[in-house]
Amino acid sequence: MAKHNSRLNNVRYKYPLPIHPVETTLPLPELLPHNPFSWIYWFYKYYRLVYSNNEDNLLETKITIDVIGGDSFPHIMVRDKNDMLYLWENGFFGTGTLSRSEPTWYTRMNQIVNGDITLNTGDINELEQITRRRRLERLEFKKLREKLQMELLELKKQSALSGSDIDSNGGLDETESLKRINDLLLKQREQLRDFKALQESYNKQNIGIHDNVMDNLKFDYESLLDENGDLLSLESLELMPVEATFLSFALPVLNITPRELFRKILPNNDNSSYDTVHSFIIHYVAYHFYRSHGWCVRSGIKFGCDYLLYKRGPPFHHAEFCINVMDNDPLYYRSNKNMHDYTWYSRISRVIGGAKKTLILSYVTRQTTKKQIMEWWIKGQYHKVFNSYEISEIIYKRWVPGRNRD
Amino acid sequence: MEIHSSDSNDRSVIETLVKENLSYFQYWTDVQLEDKALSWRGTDLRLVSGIPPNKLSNDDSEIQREYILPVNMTQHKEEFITLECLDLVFEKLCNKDTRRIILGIVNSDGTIVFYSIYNGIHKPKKN
Repeated sequence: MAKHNSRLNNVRYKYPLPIHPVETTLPLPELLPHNPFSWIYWFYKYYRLVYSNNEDNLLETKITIDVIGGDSFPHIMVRDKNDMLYLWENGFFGTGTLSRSEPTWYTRMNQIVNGDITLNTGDINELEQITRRRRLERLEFKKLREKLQMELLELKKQSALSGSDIDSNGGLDETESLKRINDLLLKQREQLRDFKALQESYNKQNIGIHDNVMDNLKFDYESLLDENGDLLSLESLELMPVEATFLSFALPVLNITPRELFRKILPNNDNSSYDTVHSFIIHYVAYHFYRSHGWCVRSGIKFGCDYLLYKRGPPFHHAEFCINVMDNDPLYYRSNKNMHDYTWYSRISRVIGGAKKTLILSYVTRQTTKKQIMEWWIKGQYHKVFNSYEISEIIYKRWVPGRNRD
Repeated sequence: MEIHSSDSNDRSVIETLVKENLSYFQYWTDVQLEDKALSWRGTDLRLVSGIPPNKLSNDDSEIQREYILPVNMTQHKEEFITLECLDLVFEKLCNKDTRRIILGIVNSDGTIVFYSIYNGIHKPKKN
């Protein structure tokens, strides 16, 4: 599937970030190899396009966000359908609140409302369809397994009964019944394996499996339509606080200044002490660091860590690395509450190892005093704040002497 | 913990997010906010209830109305939900025969995860 779509994906996800300095603006002047003046002019134009902050570099209209939930539970939402799509296609920012990651709810629902597809058929390549399909397959498999287990149990009961009756009516002896149980066990294993193989072959041929649950669904589509009978757009794209910061502080994409954004998403920002902003700062510094090294950084909550690093983005490859942001302040670690014991490391590394990813502990160190940071913070000199941290990484990997010898 | 004046408003936001997620993403029906409220650490807790499209556990005899307690991930990390809190939820917000509630943890990356919590000891569900 990935191969099949790769060419389309390369076109659709052409840009790694929402800003395309060279492409969106007027084309560069013609470069005539024999004319040095054209070179100078070309470089001048190129410099202006890429390095200067002239208006050509900006988006035509910046993207508006809606912060809900106050500063206690801030949730940063992008409501406009085109903006949602733009942020997803240009760097994979945000997650659709009613989708697995790409905001596809409107398309999916529209197809259902128009009767183009039902919930259990449809474009099998959409992530949500794949999830549904896998769940159904597992459900069917479990049903069969349960049926077989009952059969086995029945046979065991029978042989136990007949075993106790051996003397009186000369029934099956013990070895005979054991052999029967083993035979059935082998036969059942074979049956389950065949069933799995059959499911996989259906999967390859894109044959839908019947979904009783969805047939019985009493879903009220009417409530999703406006007065003209058009589907309401109920999905938003949610940005993590660090993503919104990146799109406001590092790239001029959002229609909000960093100061305004922080006032909305950090508690008591106006009279903040270092402790209230510390955790946010180290998480943002790590996010910015990997983004600026060309990684596509997304939330790692699924694997119990802070971030996932994708080489290009979710449609291209699985994430290879999981980042856990660590505070390198010894004082912070001395307080018992923040100490991580061995089980903490073991737990996270086993989860991530199980998903065949590499766990990276990313230690963020503050290079200046808290007082200095706060001075800059209050003045809104955020580049100075974020520049005063350094990152160093450690790969944490479980090592098994027996297995890792060769 | 400092209580913000807008706390009830903030709470209604995560309740709405959970409701929308259940109705439009998980295809639950008749999703509603329950009337009964419980004050916990200066916050009014309310349950969201609804009917899932399929049985949530193989041990259930039939599809039944489920009760969800919305929590923000930051609260979850701060251990806002304690045993004492859950006892109160079962006692004050649920019916006598409610066996389980579902924790709906709202994260700031646009995802919500659900975990069941049973009242008292419960046999592990058959897979």
